[in-house]
Amino acid sequence: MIHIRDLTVKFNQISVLENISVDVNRGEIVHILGPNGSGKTTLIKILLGLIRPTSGEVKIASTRIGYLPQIIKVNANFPTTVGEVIYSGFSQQSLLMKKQQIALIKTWLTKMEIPDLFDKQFSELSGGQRQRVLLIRAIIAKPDLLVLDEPTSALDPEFRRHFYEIINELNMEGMTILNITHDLDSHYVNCSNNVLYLDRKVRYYGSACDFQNDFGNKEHHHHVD
Amino acid sequence: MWIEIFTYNFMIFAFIIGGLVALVTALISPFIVLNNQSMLADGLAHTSFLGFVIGVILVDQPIYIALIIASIASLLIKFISSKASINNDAAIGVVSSLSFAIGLIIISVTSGFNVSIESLMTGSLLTTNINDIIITSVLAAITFSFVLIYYRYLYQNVFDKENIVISRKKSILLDYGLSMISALIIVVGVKIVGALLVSSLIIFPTLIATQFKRSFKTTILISVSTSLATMLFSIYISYPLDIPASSTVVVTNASVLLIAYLYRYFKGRLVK
Repeated sequence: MIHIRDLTVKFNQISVLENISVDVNRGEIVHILGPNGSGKTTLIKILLGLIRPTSGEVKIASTRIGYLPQIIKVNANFPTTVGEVIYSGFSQQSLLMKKQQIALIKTWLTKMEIPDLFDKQFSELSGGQRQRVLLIRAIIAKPDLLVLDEPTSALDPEFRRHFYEIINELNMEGMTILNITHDLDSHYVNCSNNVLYLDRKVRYYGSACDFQNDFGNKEHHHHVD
Repeated sequence: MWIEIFTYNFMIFAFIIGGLVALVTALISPFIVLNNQSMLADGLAHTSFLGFVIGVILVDQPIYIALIIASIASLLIKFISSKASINNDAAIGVVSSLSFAIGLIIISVTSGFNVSIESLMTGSLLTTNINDIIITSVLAAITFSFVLIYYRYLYQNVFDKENIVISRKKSILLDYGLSMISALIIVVGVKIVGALLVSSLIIFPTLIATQFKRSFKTTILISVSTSLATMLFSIYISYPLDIPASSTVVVTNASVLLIAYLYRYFKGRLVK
């Protein structure tokens, strides 16, 4: 699904990513880890077409990409309701929302344990609520590739577990998932997941369980339980 | 006095053209103000001043020249600000002060410049003609179609710019389109309320509407309806009171904003 060969990205002559070569198959979950400034977000922006690579080859065979940005990236003073924000994720839109679309949005709100927020102002939500709303927006149109940028950073530990249950469910339905994270917790990760550990170069790419056994013990940047 | 207003043709013209301008400025207002582009309106008003000055010298209907020059300037501003080394505010400052300066130089070297600078600065709502009404109506039709057709992208462009790029739409084309339409609207606005005050027609409606904290669609509806109401009200009271309509619009809008702000402030306190 994703094919990256010899990807290099430089900003002002300083390389942020060097010679990255990675393949991701359809239906995989890849957790992307690495210290701050290791190029995780840059890699994702390359895949989304937000940044052009300096050199190398990037191919994506996806018809629809869902993207959950870091929550600080959206315009928080914008007067808009939760319903409108999620609605903007649909691929078919008209001036008025259709009944079944409203119903689908409400089902997801309930699933995310924020059932009463449909008419609430987005700007009045807490960080964790915003993150859930933006996640629903990303998945509502059933993308085949879902890209998450630190999706759990504002979530409380209890909901975090539920969040990964939902991610795994979507993955079971065939969605390919890339997940930038700072806290890879073995409770949420199973051995079929992959880990890509970046520090400008690919330091590790393979099974999440092997990563935890071989590599995790040596690394102090991340706690890997 | 208060009724005979409606027997004058020039007052009817003023109501029609003022109403149309109020509608279109309010319609694009949220997409500009909430996108932190309020200065764009001000900058484009300055460049259309240059357009009118050149237009007066060259042709009978200076508004056509002003329309062309303002659209070129709007593309120029977008282009300059797309270069990473200059930010948007600075780009607007450069283009607008330059064109304003050139306009003033042209006026000073042209002998017999027969349009008062004051009318360019504060507008001339009561001397509009059928030609102005036609131009404004066409512009209103273009603006309404643009917003209706591209609503979902305009919405995302303000709320979450990155997401547009991902949905493989050209965010940049949308920006250029919006800024060009703003330029055309502002030129007509300059004719009505003048170069000094026109940006208020873009800025006030959204400021007022956002006080109510509703959905984005409702915000647009509030923005459009308050803008229309304040414009018609201002034109109506300005004539018998013998005060400039353009300044009255700004003062009326400021008063409505204050009331809306107080409403929100006290409502917020009551809830707590």
